[in-house]
Amino acid sequence: MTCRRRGYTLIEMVVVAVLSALVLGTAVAATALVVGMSGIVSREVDSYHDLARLATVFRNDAHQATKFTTANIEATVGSTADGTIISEMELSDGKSVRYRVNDGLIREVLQDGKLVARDGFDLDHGQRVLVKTYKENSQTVASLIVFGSRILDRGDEAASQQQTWEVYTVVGRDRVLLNR
Amino acid sequence: MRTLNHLMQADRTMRSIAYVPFADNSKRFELRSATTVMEIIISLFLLATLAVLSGQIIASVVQTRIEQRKRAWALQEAGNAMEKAFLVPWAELEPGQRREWPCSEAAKRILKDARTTILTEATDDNNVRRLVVRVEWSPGRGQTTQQIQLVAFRHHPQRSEKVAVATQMLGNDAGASGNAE
Repeated sequence: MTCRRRGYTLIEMVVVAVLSALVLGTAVAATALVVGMSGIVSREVDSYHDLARLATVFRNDAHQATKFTTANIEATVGSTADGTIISEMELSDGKSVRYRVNDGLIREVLQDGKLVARDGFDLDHGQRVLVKTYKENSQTVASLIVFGSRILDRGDEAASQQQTWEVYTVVGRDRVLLNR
Repeated sequence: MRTLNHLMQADRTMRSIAYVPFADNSKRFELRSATTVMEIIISLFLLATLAVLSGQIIASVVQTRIEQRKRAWALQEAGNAMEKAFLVPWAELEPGQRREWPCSEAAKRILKDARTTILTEATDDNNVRRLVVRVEWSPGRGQTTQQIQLVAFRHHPQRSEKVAVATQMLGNDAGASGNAE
């Protein structure tokens, strides 16, 4: 009489369990890594996109500025509720523009003292912004400096202190070119 | 019974069947199916393929992130260099002239072997110069040098005055124009 039974030995079960745990663990770790990374990547992409947009807008404003003033202070994002005005400009078309730091960087366009447009640039809490002016080749140049982010620098405090995004621009460039 | 034994023998050879006699040493035996070498090879191949694919995806995400970051910094560097090029007196903008511009410290940290050059080119109009700012950097690991280029046109100041008068009459505004390549 022959008895046919299908089953697994204890060793086989242990090996299968270990291999399954290994494969599952690796898969979960890889998924978490990819998901986490894609989150960081999208935040970084958004951040650089905003910085590039800020550079374009700031340069356009500075090029048209007939009067440029700066508070010359480092304003920290998220430190004050109503915000700190870091720079104001009077444009050739009669409008004026001011840059305010509160939960991000806000650009406000005013005409006859009334707010006509507002634009926002997303910055991380703790990032610092500074606008400074100086003379170069007898021209006024302005630099908008955004100090690095701890999020982008993976928590590296030293790197976030040093690494800066600088927008260098000639104040009144278009006006100077037209009137020279 | 003999025929059955032959079949069992053949099957054992083919499929690595475990032959486990019962404790009472009787002629009865247990037939259990196990995994063939071919099945193990196929599963290993599939696992390896999955591992390679996952690795490639992760590497690609990391590489994209690094490249995107570098390009953003390079574009910013080119924009700043272009602004500086507009500070150079018109008389110094000789066509065919190539200037090396020092990179900022922040950009140097991100871009390996970064080099900024400004090329002045003549145009059909003698009162207009084409300024080309090129930022080059090494992506490392024997890859070809990466670069981005920013182009702008600078007008002669006297010519610009004429443009200003013309645009004032038209009620428009005019200035320098630029585009990224």
